[in-house]
Amino acid sequence: MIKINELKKVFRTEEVETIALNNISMEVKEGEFVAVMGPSGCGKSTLLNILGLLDNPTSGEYYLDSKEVGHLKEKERTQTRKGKIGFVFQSFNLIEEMTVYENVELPLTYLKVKPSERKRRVEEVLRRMNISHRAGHFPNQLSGGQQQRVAIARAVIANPKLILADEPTGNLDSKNGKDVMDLLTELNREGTTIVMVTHSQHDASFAHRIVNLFDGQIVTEVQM
Amino acid sequence: MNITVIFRRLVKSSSLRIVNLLGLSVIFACLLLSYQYIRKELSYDRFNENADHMVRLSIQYDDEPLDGRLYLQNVESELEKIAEIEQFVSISKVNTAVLTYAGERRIMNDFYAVSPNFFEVFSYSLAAGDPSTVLKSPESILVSHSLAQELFGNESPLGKELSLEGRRMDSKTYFVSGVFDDFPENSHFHTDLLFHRRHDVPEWTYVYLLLNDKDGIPQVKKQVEAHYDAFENLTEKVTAHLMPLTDIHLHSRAQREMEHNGNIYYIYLITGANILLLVVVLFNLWLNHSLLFSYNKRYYQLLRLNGADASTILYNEAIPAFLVGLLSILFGGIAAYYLAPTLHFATVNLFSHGTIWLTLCFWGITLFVSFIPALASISSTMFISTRDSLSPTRFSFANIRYMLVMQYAIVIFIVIISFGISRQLDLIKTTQVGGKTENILVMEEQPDDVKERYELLKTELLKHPEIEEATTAFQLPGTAIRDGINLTVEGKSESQFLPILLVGEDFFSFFDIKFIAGKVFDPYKMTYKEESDILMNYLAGKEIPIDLTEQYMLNRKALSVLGFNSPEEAIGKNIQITHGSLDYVNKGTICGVTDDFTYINIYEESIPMLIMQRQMFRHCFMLKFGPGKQEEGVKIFNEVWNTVNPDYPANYSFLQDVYGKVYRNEFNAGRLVNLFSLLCLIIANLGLIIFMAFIVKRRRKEIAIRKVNGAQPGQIIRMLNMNFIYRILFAFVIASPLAWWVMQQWLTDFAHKTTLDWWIFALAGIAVLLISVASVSWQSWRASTQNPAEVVKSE
Repeated sequence: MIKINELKKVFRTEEVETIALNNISMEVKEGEFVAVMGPSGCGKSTLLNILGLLDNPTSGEYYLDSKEVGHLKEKERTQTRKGKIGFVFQSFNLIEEMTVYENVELPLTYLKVKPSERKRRVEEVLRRMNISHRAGHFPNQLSGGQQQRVAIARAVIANPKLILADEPTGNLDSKNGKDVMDLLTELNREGTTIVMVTHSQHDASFAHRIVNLFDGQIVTEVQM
Repeated sequence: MNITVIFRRLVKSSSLRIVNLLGLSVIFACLLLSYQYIRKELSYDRFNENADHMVRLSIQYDDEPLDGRLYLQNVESELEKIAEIEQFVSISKVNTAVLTYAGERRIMNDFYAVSPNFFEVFSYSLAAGDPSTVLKSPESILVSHSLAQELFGNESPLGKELSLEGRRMDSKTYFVSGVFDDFPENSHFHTDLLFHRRHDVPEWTYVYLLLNDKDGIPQVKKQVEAHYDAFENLTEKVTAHLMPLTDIHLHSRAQREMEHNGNIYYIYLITGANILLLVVVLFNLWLNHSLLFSYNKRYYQLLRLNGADASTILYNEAIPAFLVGLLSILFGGIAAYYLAPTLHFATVNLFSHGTIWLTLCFWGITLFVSFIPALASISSTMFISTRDSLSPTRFSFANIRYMLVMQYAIVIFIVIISFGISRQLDLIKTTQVGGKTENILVMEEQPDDVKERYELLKTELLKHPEIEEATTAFQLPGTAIRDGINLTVEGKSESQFLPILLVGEDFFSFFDIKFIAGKVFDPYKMTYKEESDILMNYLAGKEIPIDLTEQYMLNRKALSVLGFNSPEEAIGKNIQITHGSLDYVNKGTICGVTDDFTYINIYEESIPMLIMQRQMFRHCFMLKFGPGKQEEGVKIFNEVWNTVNPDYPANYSFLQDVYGKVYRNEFNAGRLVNLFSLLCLIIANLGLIIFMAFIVKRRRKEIAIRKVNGAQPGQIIRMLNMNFIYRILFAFVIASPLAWWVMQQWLTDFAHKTTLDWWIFALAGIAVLLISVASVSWQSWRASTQNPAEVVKSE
């Protein structure tokens, strides 16, 4: 599903040049659950941003479903991303002015799904995330665990083949963290490919494979 | 995109939006009202079909002040010879006359004798009568629709007998030959009566030429000047002024206009004030939208992460901008509609072509300005990092700093202008005689019967303690003095020409005019009747007593004209006068010299004057009420008037209103600039408060760290406020010279100018500075007193 070759990302400011990713090559198969680990500043999030088509690499190749997507323009990236990739963040990134229902519905509105179909799918996924009773609430009325379940619901609503998760349990207590990991595992079991960045050894243990990054390079890969 | 979400976000940012809404509503109301006013001012006399081809002719001798009128003697036959002139109309004004209909008399002011072709050349419409014949007969007179209603009610006015009697016209009976519709408001003159003008009477008239070709003005001018040189054989240089009809209202600076005109500079002033206020408001709009956009950036990034594209962002920005624009148009429109009557404007027509265009342009500009921040940084809404913090992202300050300086330069500029204009208005009041006094009642020229009873009226009135003083004069203050006399001082061979003012002996104490030598006139010796008999005999060429002498006074300016080195030197000197009609008494002594006083207006230098007493030529009556006694005084005046002059209704006004008309443009400008400077200041300060709130929010952590490291609240406040103070000072440096220059330009209109002292500028600058610092200090104080522990913890 994902194949990257000699991927390099350099951030330049006026005085400093930082190499965030240094000629990384790796592959993620369809249906795989990969955890990316490493200390702060090792390039984990940069890698996730490139995989999620939020940013382009400085050089190297990135094949998504065998199509080179590493050097697309912003508009093409948005087009490619739509419906194909879902995101889950540490800070949930819900829109405060939208209700739970509206937050989850959001990606479908941009995919031009009919309202009746949207309603059916949103209700279904909310039920599945066990959050339907909160559909009319706003994010700030929910607990952290509930917010992350809403964020996951939003990430999966369009049935993406790939979910990218950046420290999904980082802001949660252990009970809520476990629920979230269980949900991700379940989605993976149903066929969704997952790439997750994490600091937590415990969370990483849910993955099929752990990739360790250090100073922008892959140092070890561990098959679980 | 879900519209309810946009509304939820709109509610969240409501305080900023309300500030914008307020500013935009205010400027829109101003724009609407100003547009309406300017459109009216520019439309003067354009309703005339021939407007493009019409000019008014006036003649200037040397550098003398230009008179709107022309002394029409043998000129008409000369004008007929000029091929480029298709027709001409002469109009002479009657200031006062008594109109009698069915035995009832009424005093009519300001009406005109006009050439028979008046209605063929001008496009004033007739309700009854044929334009080509209605004025043909020497007995024809026309009344306005409203006067016809008053005089005749429902009866047909045609053929009704009216008689007119006045100082400069023979008593004569006329027959109503037509009724004209009341002149439109945008006519440069208005009247209720028009009658046939006799061609054979030489008099001062307004002469309008209808030209074959509107480009023929230079040829006509040349020919008129040539004719004048040829037949009058003058020593002075003659300049013919041909003023296009449509320019009279805004561009004429001639004396003795038919009515007080507008002034093109006030159109510029209004336009300028609107533009400046608009810039201030738009700057605020831009600033607020920049701040809002920076707050919204994360939201937009999340939308884009979930599949939205740039158009969604623009849509999100457009809805509130669109709404705020729409609401401001609504509120501004309502405000303008209800304010128009209180500002003495015609009702605002909200649905005229021009207004709709103005509205659309305004809406377009507000939308455009609201969009600038979004368009400029649309790329920043791309979601490039999963780790962006949720706090507002960085925001460029460089532009805002310049804009803030510019905004404050505008505010200080307009505040200085407003201070300067107020000073000049104050000068008008202190310079012009009686300008400071609210309680002077004045009457325009009255019929002879009434003038004859002035002394009686005065005696009766002064019996009441509510009435302090009463006096009489040839003309009311605020009008041009154009009558003059030739006089020879005893022992000098050359005679001199001096403008004259005829007044009662109580005139000087009435207006508090200071003497620099001698004393006031002795009370006048002759009665009205005696004087009238002498004048009649004189005019009839009969013998008059040769031993008649009188007293004269001079003003300071007249001293040098007559060759006196000091005021004292003039006292007791005998002089002899010559004049067409006033020299039935032709000699006397100078009894006093007054300081210069401004009787005409402050556009012109004080003129040298010979001041004399003549009962028959003191046309106007004036009286002063005791302080606070105006209401009772007017009641008493009416009672006394009705017993003394039962045959004439009292038509009076107040000196303040007379000056109000003379200085209409100045007072309007003063009010307007005061209002605009206040609005600019309020709106700019609202913007400043918002900007300060943003700065404080941005620098919260910095302030906390400074406090942890020992900074006192006072130091924090100073640090935050200094930011603005420097900028306001910089703005002051930019604004002052500009304001000085503009004020200088404006003051060139006046002979008596206020001085633009440095402290006016300083005061304006300090006022703006203090108000601004006061309005941001609350924010600075709050920031400086916050608990640093909370801030550091939450970051």
